[in-house]
Amino acid sequence: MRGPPSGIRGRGTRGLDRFGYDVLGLLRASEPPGVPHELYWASVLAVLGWAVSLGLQATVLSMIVFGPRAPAVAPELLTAMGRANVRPEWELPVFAVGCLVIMAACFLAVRVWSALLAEHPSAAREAVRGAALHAGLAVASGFAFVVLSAAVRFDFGSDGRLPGAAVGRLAAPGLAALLAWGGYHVLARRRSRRRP
Amino acid sequence: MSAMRRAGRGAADAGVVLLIFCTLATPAISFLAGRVFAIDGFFHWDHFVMAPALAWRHGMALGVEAYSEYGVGWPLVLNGLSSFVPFSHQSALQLGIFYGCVVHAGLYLLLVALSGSRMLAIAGTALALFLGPFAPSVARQGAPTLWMWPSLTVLRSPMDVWFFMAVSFHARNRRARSAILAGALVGLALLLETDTGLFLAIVFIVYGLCLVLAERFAVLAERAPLPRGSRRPGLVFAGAFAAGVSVLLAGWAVASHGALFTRPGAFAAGWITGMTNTTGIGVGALPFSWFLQHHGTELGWPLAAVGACLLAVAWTMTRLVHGRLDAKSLIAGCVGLYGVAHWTVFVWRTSPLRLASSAIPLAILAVMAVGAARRPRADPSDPRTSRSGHRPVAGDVIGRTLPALALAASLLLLVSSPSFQAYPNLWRMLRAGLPPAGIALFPGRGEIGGLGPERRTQVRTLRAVIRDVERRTRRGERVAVVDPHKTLIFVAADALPWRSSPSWFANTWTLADADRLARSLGPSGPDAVFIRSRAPSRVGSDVWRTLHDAVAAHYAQSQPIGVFEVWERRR
Repeated sequence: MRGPPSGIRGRGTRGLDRFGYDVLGLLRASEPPGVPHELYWASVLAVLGWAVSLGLQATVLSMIVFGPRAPAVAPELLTAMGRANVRPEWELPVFAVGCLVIMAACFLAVRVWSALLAEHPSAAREAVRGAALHAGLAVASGFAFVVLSAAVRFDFGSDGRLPGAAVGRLAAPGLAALLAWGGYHVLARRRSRRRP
Repeated sequence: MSAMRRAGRGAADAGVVLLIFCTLATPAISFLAGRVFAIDGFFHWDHFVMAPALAWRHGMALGVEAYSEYGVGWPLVLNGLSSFVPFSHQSALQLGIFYGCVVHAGLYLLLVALSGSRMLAIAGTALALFLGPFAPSVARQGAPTLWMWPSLTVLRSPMDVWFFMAVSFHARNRRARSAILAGALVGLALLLETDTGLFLAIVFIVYGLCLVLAERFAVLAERAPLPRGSRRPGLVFAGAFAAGVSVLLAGWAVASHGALFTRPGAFAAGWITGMTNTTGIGVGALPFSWFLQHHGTELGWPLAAVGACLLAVAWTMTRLVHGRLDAKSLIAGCVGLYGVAHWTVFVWRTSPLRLASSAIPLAILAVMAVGAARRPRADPSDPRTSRSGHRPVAGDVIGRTLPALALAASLLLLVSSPSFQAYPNLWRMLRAGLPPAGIALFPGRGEIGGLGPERRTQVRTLRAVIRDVERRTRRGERVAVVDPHKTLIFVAADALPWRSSPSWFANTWTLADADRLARSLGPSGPDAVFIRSRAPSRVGSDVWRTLHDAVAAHYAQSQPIGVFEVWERRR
């Protein structure tokens, strides 16, 4: 909905305030009809879990890939204590950006999910199916990521970076979960078109 | 509620608080201080509070003349309490542990308010103790206690429990005084600890924004907005801001001995230096690759922790844009955001120990999640719904079982932690008796005890150095102690240190810094210098060599004290 709803149009919603309502109107989401309130929010929690799980895997991978940065002070200008302790890295900014991207991904995933349910003729059944799938993908890919990173002995280069093959191996659970999500959405949209 | 029932609940709360004190406080504080001295030499306490507190005590302005890495508040608190307890490392340790007990007692009360279940609140407090002071990683590092690193304890984030208490009251009742109290607590948090204070400030701003936006999204969704409480929310938040700024400015003025008003730029730069000094060139950072190589099997726990915090934030954001933000979701989002911000402490130096600092936000979120899961929302149209709003089906069985399961699991985790088993609290004393008295560094005050006979020579030397430093400073001499124990020596002698930096060796990262230090020992240097005849550590050997050469060039050697050479200015 663009602008304030009918009930509050008029006094106090002009100019900047009206603009604010326009922007918020773009962001706002609504519960799809045909899905019980509790079921919808349970499915939203599963969708958020899926987005957070994948986003976190991507963030940790990015932290490993970007990892160390060139030192601001040349090593020969450092004391022995400095050489032992100075390890500049990109990880903090990568983590901050990663968190913002995760929030954006959560927002988009919920929008896509709500839109799918809103169009679906048997939305309640789809909500149960989708919630189970999202939760399953979140847990399975997160678990696989953790097991992979624990089970595989990684050979980091002298620069603290991980070889491409190892990065690919760690990215596999997240990519698989993303593909499964895409496949599910294609199938769900087909199902929603097929059923009257 | 009957008076009898109320009294019963009050007695139960008092009992839990007593249990928390028995678990976290120690009757063997001298022994614990001795263990910290033996393993760490109070290195981390010197940086955290002792060196800036000593400098302030002797008239140096924090932030301008003396470096205070973490914040300027704790040094003031320690000095304020020195009228009642000795100004010493052991007192600082004792103060920290006592405050830890108070914070965990506060956490219990906050969890009771948030979950409405005492059983869940005890479970959450036990979980916070397990993830924080009694984290298994502490024992795995061979440390006697997490209190060896004050920056990983509740002292690093001293106001979070009280802040979330004020915010949860405000989210429910919208009273102006709760918001103003929260603002004052943010100011106090910024004063005590710069970085975590900034985290709380960000959380409070986001909280205010969410309240404003929640009203608008509710209007857009054509739903009843949250209760407003005050007709002028802007005025309330302006009051909260003013309260925070007043607390902060008053604290800064005291910490800087008034330099805040005469040299505001220098003070501001010095205040923020604590955060930027190490991050600028990457001192102390540990990359994630290091964590994967050495603690790869432990990755699940940190990921689950930050994932839970991010999920809470995402949940709040989603409820907000649906126009369905309720008080509990808002609090969960704020705690989650604070937890994510705290995770940066771990990202910066990816050591498992650092996860201990996010124990409290995680415990709050865990209790809120279990609390939400145990109360199935009743559908009023469902004929099975009782008058109390509960649905007497499977949900109630889960609701009854979950808190008991959570309590059993968290208590089991706590008592099975090797850090808990090794900690000299009342329970261990009852089981194993008092630890050996050993040698005390300061036998007169009974401080820093439990030291083994192998430390006899070191103790004798340190006592002699302290006596000599005390004698010289009383004569008006300026004395430099170029040693890792410098702050301990000056605190014991209660003397003004030559240079306020907590450490000569550990904080000298570049050769240029080492040369600068060496020049400071030149013609305008102190009257006497105490320096060991050999480098105190391998990594500090080049700095020691540079400083020793500078001392030898400008000073004449006097009678040594044990391993310490004593140099006096050439006349």
